[in-house]
Amino acid sequence: MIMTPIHVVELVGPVCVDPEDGLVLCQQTRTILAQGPGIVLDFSGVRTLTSSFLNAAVACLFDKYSVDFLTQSLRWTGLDSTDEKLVQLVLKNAARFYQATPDQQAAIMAASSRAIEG
Amino acid sequence: MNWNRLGVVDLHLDRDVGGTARFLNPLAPYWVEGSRVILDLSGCTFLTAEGAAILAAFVLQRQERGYQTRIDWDTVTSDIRRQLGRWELSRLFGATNHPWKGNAIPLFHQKQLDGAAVEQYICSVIRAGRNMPPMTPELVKETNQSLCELFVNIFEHASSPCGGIAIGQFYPKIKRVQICVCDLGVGLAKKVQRSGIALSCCGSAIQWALEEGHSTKSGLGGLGLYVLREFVKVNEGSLRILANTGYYSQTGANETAQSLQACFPGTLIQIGFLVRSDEVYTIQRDEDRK
Repeated sequence: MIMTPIHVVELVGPVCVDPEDGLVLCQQTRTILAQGPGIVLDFSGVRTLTSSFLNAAVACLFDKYSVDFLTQSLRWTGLDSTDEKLVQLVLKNAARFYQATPDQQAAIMAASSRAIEG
Repeated sequence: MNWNRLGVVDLHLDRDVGGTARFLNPLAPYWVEGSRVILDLSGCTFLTAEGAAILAAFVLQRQERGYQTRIDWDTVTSDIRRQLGRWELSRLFGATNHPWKGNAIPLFHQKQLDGAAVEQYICSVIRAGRNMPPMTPELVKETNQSLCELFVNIFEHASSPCGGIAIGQFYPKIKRVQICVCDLGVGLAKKVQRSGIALSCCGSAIQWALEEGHSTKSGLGGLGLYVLREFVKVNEGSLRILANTGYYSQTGANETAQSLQACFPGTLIQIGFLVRSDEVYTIQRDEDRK
């Protein structure tokens, strides 16, 4: 399978912290995934990575695609061991969130909405 | 108009949270009240970074609202005066900062999230501090990540009118760095309790927010504070959170959550981590723990 690379450092820079930058990466990934078989997310040159950035970078993908599809279609590269573990944690958390039943998700969202509105 | 004289008391490292409550209580009415305030430090002979963070937040919040806050410099010992200058707090009160930072990690204030500036602060201020031993690349990475997570949390969740503040201190003898990050937003405990969770104890509400995947944000989230907590565990450091009337403390793997007999009108997160050149610190995957 030919996979299209996305060089994260070229797209959003070496400090991957801001969820808004994560959203940019998510939209770019989603656009390419809609056209081709797979993507390599290359984090070479990224100095700082946070869960907030990564959550935003994967949320719109998990919203549209299944966990199995994303496992097959996304490759992550250029990560050191610290960032690799963070990516795994974020992916596990995302899979758990998006695999929840509609009732469970509704309960989570309702609690979150009350917190935000309050 | 008269000046209201407030007594600032000692705040020592690793003392019970009662000391923090005693420090906060005199300030309590004046976070939002507009009368002029002058701080009397005649009862203050030692101040940790936590105390410095509270004072910085207090004056910045009041400045944001156009309220005047001063220090009565005649009540300040030379040691405290020097320390306030090293933290670069003196300029907030119209005085000159100290020319050398010593082991202080000076005030850093952001009104908008700027990850590159947080990273720069860590590289040029924290890591370059006098007497600071070399950090392993892993510790540098974990520190960058942890502080960036804290700042992102402020701008994602807190709605803090004065933005985010960081300030710290390095203790060379015990090779420990203490960094406080705080905001004056909704407050972590209050925000969790608005979701109907841990209504009876603000400390338990803070504890809830530290669990993996727990978030008050709509949608995917809830890892930033968890990652921070795991880093502290592995590092054998400490984590201390004040939010509203809640208090949470973790030293290594030991946790305490309780009510605070005072109110901090926002969230103050203090991390203490050890700087050792021969250790690797990183969050652990499930399989690493087995």
